[in-house]
Amino acid sequence: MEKKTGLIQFLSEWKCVDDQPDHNRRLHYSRFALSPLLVDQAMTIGVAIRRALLSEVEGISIISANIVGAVHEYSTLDGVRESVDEILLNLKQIVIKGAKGASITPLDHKEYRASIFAQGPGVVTAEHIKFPSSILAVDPDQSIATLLNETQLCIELFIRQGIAKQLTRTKKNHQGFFIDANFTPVQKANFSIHSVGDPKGLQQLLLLEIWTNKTLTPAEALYQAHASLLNLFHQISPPLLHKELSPSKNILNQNSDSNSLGGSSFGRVVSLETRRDSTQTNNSSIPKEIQPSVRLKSYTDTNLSIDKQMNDSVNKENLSIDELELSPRISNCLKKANINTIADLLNYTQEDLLKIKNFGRKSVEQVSLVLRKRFNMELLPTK
Amino acid sequence: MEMNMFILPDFLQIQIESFRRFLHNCIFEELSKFPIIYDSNQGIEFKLIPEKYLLTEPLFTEREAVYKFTTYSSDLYVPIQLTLTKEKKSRIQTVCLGSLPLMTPQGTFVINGVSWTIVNQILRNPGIYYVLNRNGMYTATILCLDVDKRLRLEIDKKGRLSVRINNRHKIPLVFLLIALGLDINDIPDWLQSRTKKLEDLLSGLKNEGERTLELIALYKQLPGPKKVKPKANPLIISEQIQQWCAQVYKLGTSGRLNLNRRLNLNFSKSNDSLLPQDLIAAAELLVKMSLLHPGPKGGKDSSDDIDHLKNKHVISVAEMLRKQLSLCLIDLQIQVRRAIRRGISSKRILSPRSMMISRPLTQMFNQFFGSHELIQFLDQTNPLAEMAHKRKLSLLGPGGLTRRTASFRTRDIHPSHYGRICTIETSEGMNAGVIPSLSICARVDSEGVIENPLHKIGGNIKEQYTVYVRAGRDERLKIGTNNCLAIGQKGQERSTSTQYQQEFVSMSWDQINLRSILPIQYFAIGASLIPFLEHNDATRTLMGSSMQRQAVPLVKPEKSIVGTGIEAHISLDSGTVLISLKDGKIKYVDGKQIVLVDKDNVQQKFNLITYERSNNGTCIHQRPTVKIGFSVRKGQLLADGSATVGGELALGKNVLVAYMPWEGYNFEDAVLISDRLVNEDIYTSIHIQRYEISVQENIEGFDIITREIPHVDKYLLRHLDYRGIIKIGAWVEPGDVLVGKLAPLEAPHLLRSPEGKLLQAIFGVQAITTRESCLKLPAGGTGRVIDVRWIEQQGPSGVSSLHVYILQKRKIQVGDKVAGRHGNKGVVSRILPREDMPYMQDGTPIDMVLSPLGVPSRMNVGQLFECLLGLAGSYLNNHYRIMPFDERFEREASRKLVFSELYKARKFTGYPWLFEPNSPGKSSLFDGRTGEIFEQSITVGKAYMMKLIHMVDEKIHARSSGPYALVTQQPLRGRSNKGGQRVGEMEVWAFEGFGAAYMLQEILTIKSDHVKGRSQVRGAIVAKESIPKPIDPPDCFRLLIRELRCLGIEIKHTIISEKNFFLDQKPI
Repeated sequence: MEKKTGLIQFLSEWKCVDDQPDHNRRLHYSRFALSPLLVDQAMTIGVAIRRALLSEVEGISIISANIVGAVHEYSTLDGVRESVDEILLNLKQIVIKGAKGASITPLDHKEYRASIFAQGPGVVTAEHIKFPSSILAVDPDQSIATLLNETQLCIELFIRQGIAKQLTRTKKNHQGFFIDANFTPVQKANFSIHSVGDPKGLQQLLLLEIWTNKTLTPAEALYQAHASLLNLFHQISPPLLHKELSPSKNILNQNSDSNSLGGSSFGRVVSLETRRDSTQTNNSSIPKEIQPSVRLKSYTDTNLSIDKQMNDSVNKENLSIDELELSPRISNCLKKANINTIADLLNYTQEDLLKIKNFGRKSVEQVSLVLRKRFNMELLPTK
Repeated sequence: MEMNMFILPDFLQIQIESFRRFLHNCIFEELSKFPIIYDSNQGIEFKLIPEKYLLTEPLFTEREAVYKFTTYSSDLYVPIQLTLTKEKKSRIQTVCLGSLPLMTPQGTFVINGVSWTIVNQILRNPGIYYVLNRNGMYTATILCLDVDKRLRLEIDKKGRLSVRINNRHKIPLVFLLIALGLDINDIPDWLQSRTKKLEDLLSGLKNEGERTLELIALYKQLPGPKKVKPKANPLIISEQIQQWCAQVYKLGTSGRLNLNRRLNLNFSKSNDSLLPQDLIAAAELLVKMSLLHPGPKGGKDSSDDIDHLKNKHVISVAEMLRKQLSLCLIDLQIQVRRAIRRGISSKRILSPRSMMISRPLTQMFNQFFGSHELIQFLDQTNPLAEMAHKRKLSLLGPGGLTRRTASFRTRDIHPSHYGRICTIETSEGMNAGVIPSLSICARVDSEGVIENPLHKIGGNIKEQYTVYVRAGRDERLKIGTNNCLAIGQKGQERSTSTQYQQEFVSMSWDQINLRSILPIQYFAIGASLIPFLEHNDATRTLMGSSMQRQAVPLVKPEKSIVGTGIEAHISLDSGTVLISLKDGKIKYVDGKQIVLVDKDNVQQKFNLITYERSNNGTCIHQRPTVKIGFSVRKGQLLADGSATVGGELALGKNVLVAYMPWEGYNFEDAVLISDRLVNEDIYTSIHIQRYEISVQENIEGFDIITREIPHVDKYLLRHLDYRGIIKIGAWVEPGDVLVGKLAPLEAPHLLRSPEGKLLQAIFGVQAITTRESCLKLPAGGTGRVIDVRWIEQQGPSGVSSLHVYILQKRKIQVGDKVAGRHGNKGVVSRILPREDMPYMQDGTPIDMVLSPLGVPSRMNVGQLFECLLGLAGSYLNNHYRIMPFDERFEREASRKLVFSELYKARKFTGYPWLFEPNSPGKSSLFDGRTGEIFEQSITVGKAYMMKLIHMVDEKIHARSSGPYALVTQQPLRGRSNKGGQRVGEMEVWAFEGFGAAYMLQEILTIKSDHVKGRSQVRGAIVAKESIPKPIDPPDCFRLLIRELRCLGIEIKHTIISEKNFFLDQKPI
């Protein structure tokens, strides 16, 4: 596992510092270190990785169960100590992992089937689940139900992979009883930043602690988090700067913050703090700024609140001419001529405007100046 | 009345003891009062044999009664002896008097399948009370057994005495005495001289005619409905008055004792009605008092304290039922007398059974349980609610106060309440103070006096024991209050605060004879569950205790880390858990039953309650806690109920809270939660809803339950079985048909309908048409059908009904109310993913973010102690049970404890941030979104938070169109009938203020009561036309006009033409 962060001249590398696989039956703890990093890079990576670890790492869980003999979830079975609902809650807790050698690739949304056939007396545990060869239970002692005498318990299980964000809450299209599974293999993640190296403090060390429920090892989780982050950034990477988009270069420089994480050539211009500040100011000042819709579209995925801006730019032409902040005389003239929106205004040529009463060449110049400056639009001189 | 060791009393004692007393004593006593009815004409003697009364064993258990929707009751049989004296024949027959609802072991009554509880009433004792009135004059009120009837002796500024009957009629005292049969010469002179217009009165009384008239007037003024008309004979009327007074002004034993004590009389207990001598003595004392202390300023106030508990008594189940029984036996007497008379005329042979046509008891008790004010629908939200409801006391009810008239003084706490009635737990709002609760240690004796246990201190430990002290008796005693224990304070003065004569004084331990047993002795069960209660403001503690009663049982309950130690007592006594009745061995355990074998090899089966509905829609479910082969002792826990874990009350969950602002999402007590609480079912609760439909017979025929419902979408009928009833286990959504029912259509209606006419024209037969009247699932009812029950109603009505039970699992969501135990309540404002939540230094995200501004002004600091100790406990795997008022051991004991535990946790885990000496109890948090440290260190801890029954699912509501009220044509009110939101006067001002004229018009016309307009609007919307403007006035205007017409005012709309004065009238 390695990560190349943009412009850094030297290679930084993840190192596993501490690994406690048997911290607990269902807890695997590891600590990783990443160094050396430039000042403030550690924060960028740490936050991103922690958030990705917590939200985007895939888990594998039982999503529904078919219990033979149970009419509904809230019934009890003869000879079984737990009610059906309690069994389902126990099944929800079962931690599953991929078997050694079997590859469970991320985003492989295959549905697995498993089953339990057990006869009492005794406690049915995760050990009694018959899994397909590619998966197995992490903790075979996790109890599911307690059977008495010769009671038989047959459960059919449906298992799937998923991530926390795609919780399937629809109860339809499921065989058996629905278990709203938790796909969160990473229990906890934490990072800390330490300065290392020479006293000038130019280098940082990122320590990352990960606790997983053993569905994945922390190293695998880290890999997945990486992969999903890379995937994300890859998807949203801005198109290379082409000639026809040249005006946008200007804008890009102004708002370079929004894609500095994208690793483009404008990357490390702005430091992390200013980035945050500027996003905030950016948000508030956006309606006044012109953003060509082509560029904006590529940003809509980044979860920055740009949807609103886009709508604004689409509606820009519906803006009132008051937005141009023209002098009262000019705007009154325009309104008298029934030019109320910018769209109306664009229907007119400069020549047409001159025909309006009390509207001289100077006024036309002013209007076209403002249009060019604020909205990057031009009035045609003549038809 | 002494014990060596003090054990907390059974919390249900107040109900169960009382009912036991009713069964064992009261029934016998009332039956013995039944007179021997003797008819001398026929020589018939009718006699009850009360010693041999029988109560049948109930036909089914209380749980079966709930299930079958019937009453848990037993029949009362009494043997009756009927003797024909002429023939010297006697016959004994056992007769059923009717059924008597029985109390369940949980202290409730099951009436028609629903649990009810009888709230104990507090009433004033009968007797005489001297009170200073507003004018600074003393008055003496004589309260009688029947509380409505009271006499008041008054003295005016000139020292003249008069009597006020029922707060209304005022007559001279001398006159009343004469009317009661005293001769004028028997009345002492001082009393005569203190009479207004004595001469007139005396001269009037000498004249026989006038005297009669006066007496008749007085007789009429006496309270109560009189059956006997006054006779115009002075002697007879005087006798009538005496009889009536003896009947109405009954004092009872306690009233007689009170009067004897207060007035220094000694009449025997049997003289239980008001005597003229009492009045004279009372007047004498009244005169003395007003002479000694004229006016309120004069000296020590020797008036009685009517709010003192010694002047009050508790009316419990026994007394209430006893009263009903006695009424019922009076009815029976009349019935028997009538039957004997009838029997004589019809010359039939009489038998006791034939004399009793109806069962008086059944009817009387049905009526009593259906209408009495203090019989309340049991609050079953959780075990605590159930218990607290049964321990409530009420000043309201028949003979008591009313909500509006209760003064502040009666609502306030009184020194005599200490240890008997909780000083904090009462309801908020209108009922504040009039519905208090019984303190945990207090008990009610058979006379209805509340007693408080105290510990007797002697020099020798063997001489120390517990005594129960009645209200009023403890005032002369010096009671140490345990405020400060003299531990390790040898050199210093061993003094403590002491309760003495309604005051708290400081006294040294040597002078003290008694001490209180528990520091939480003063509180009711709800309040005593609050840890660190002493750090909270009383108002917030009140809220905390009342909100615990609203906590919803959760799917996976959890014990609190920090508690007070009485959790187990409450859940064990509440009856929601299953307890072994004898020693034995567990032979079988599954989800439905537990079988116990005792040493004599006798099996005992315990059936568990699985997913039953409580009165409040929460789920009652028992989970076994024992395993096969376990040996259990009597009283040991066999199964947990809902909201208990290991026999301890578990109303909420321990969650990680932080007190910090977060982007304004915890403004105004809102609460921000992590999605962990949603995904991991931390605050998931089960709710069971019951839907009913009755199957009736009317003139046209029976309702039919069928699967074949015409004109209903097949999809909505998909879950019905072949009978037309929903299948158990079906997942239903709003609109789905639960029971397919067709009701026969009325015949005249049929004839008028076109298809009916056609059928009759062609075939000459009447079409039998039916109307669809299915039970459909209303909005928000999505869930799983877990049970369908047929309930056959007994009796001639023949109405049977179908009940469908639908279970919902509700996760916590935005809008749900959550609360801690300290009155810190809030509404979930947002659910954040866990990566966005602030996190602690070990990476653990916070579960719940509370507002720090919720603490200072509310003064409930206990929540901070609780959450910090909880944090320490969660790291140390410790549970703490801390009796409140630990400050009595040393100063700042709570703080020291919390910090030392945090320090231990720090040492144990090696996390230095758990206890930072610079900011103890606080640590730095990181923002989950940016990874930055928050500017200030933040209090983080594990608090025990509950989800309350106020959930959005039951409150969320929107209306586009819906039903309208018939008269005003305005939308209905309330969510239950899909009502609208009222735009009231002030809302209209807002619209006016903003100049939103069109919107206002729209709201006041087409969105409200403009009948024509609103139908046009619908058309316009469908046709995508512009919305028409209403022209004519809305319906409320028409209503106004009509109401004016009723008053005889005609309003017309007339236009007079300017040219030819032509009148153009329009009807309105």
